[in-house]
Amino acid sequence: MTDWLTNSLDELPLEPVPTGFADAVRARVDRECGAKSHQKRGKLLVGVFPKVAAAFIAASLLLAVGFWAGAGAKPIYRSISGGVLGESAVLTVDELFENRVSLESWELVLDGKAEMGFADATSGSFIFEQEGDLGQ
Amino acid sequence: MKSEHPDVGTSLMLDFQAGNESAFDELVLAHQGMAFAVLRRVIGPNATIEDLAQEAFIRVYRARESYVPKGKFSTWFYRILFNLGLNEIRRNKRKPLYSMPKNDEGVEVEHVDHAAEAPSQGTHDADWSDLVGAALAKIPENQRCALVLQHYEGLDLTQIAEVLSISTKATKSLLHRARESMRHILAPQRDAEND
Repeated sequence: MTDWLTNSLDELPLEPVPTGFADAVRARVDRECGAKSHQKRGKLLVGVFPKVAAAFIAASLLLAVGFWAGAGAKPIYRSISGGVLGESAVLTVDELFENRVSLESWELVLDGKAEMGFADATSGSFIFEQEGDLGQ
Repeated sequence: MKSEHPDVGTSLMLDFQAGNESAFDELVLAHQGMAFAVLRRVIGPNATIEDLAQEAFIRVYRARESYVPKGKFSTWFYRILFNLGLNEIRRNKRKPLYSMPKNDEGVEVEHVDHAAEAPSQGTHDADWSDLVGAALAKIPENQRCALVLQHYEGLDLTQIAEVLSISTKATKSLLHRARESMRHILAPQRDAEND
């Protein structure tokens, strides 16, 4: 059942839309917003151009500095040629092989073994224990 | 290119945003009735309704660039209409409602309160729809907006809550209070009519 208030609210009349309202809105849009949007576009061009130009110049500078410091740069050190250092730096393959062999001939000892060896120094013995005896 | 948004208003607005100028004209034709109906019920019979309705569509036009389709177009448009309507009410409140009548020589004459002389005469002669309109104008703004959206625009609780940016619970309470306020104002008139 509909109450009396709902019926009362239904009695409030509708406001009719005046004839030509849509045309009036269009005319106002053309008058107010049309002109403004053109101004805005003009402003936009004026505002954007200096920014784009500045960004282009900055990018060009960065590129130039980058090239100067990178690929286009001269070496910042002097190349060593001749002299004592030059002679000593030159090794034959045989000499290199000899050095390698002499390095490999050293028996490298594990850190643990070395520590244990020094621990035994108090008893007057520096003899390293066998690997299997470590930690026992 | 036509936008394929399920909401017709939003679809037209997106077309307009994409550069289709005639979509705006379609938008006006599709929503002009709603604009007049809402403004009439929010601000009452007023000479400025047409200007306000035009202003509402001008705001839509100006929002072309910034418009983001978050919900239905009508939800957003209702907010524009309510803002304009309520601003108009506030502006009118600042103006003096009555001025002293002047005689033929332009001199102010003493105001005579005819309503006080015959308190019941006006109510008996008035049209019931005028009384309903007057009652609607008397209730608080938020209650009026909620009632207009529910009764005249057919929105449900969730939609009203979205337009008014309040919770559904608050909307329910607002609508209850709006109806109570209307009953409170109209009941004496109704009883007088029935007698």
